[in-house]
Amino acid sequence: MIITDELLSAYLDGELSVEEIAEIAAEIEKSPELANRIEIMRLNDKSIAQAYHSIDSKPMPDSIMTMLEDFPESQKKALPFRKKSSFRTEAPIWQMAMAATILLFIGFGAGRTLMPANTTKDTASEQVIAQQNSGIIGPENALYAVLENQPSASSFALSANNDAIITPSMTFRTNENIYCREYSVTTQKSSTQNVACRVENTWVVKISVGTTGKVLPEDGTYQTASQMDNSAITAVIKELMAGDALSADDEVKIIKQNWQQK
Amino acid sequence: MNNNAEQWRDHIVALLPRLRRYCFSLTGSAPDADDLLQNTIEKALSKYDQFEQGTDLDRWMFRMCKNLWIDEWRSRRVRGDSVDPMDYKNEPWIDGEDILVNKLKMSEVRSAMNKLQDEQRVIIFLVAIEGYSYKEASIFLDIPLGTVMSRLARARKALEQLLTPPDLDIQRNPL
Repeated sequence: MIITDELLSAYLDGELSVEEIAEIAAEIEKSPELANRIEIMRLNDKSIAQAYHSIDSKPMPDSIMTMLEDFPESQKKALPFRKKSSFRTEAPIWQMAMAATILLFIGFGAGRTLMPANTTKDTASEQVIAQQNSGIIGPENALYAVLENQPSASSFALSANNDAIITPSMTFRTNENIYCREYSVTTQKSSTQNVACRVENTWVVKISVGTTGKVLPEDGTYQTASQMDNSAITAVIKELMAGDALSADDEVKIIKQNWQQK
Repeated sequence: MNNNAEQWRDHIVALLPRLRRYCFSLTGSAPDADDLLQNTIEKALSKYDQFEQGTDLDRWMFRMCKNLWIDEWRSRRVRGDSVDPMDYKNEPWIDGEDILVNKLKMSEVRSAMNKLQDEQRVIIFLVAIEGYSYKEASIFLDIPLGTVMSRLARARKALEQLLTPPDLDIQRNPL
């Protein structure tokens, strides 16, 4: 059998018939060169996916959220410039309300500490909250189902009101073979980056770093942190992670297996 | 409140992460990606009235996005601005990402992707980044299945040549 680039590429994507897969697998068995090449292709794919999924961890720009939130009302107005009311009269869909974050923190359990990080530049409008070992997320917590079932890089609205958008960004394993997930909780007005590990059918939050803010009284505008300081998160991940992050496929597999290794 | 319009918007909201990665794959730079995403959303919302029910919203948005990027790319060239989006030094947020892929690898990957032909980059985006099946990609791009296969194979071959071969011994180590 002549192994063309097309066949090899389709083999990688699992897009061949059972017979073709068997034939190619046999060829790969015989040829270390071919095995090497398929491995390189697989790793290239993995690097590419990771490189482009990296943007997922950056909070979605507020301007885009506001634009969507104001639709369709914004389109009905004939005025070229829409005058924004200082006070919102209805709950916005992208209400990443501080309340959502606070609620979430409460959900993490007692004994939490809130400490403004040293990196905060403008304490009048934003506050960085970092907390470690912030609690346990059990099945009664809405976040539990998201961590259990949602693949990385796909978002999930936590409540029916789209109060908070949860986006798992990656899954990794520790030296003790415990699975951990990094995820963000984003509302229009606040955002947290978190790491939780799965211990005995619950998720234990290892760290939660967030930005919240308060409405500036003079014009009702809201200022969120333009970017979060993720160094604390990075440090925790570095400490915990053994090897690479799970690939999308491996992640789906372990979710299907209810996080049990076979 | 217009329920249809709201549903339509919610569909766009659901599409955001994917569309954003698409912008990233087109522009190769995160700030450019968010600018492009913003322009795309703005344009889409303004064209709601022209959107025909039954049109595939995903394809409609992706096409709009791509056209906007081509416009931007052209105007940058006319202005004499750099069209090379590889300015990673201006992306401070990327510091937190070195866990996933080290920074060098990431810029190498994006640099390689930017050297691909457009149609190759798009097929890699759909299949390798977004996990589309060949059939889904063929419907999305409106091309035959065989073309998906050959285009993807050519793109992967090109990437093999553009990227430094990974150190397999290190990568194969079990966790």
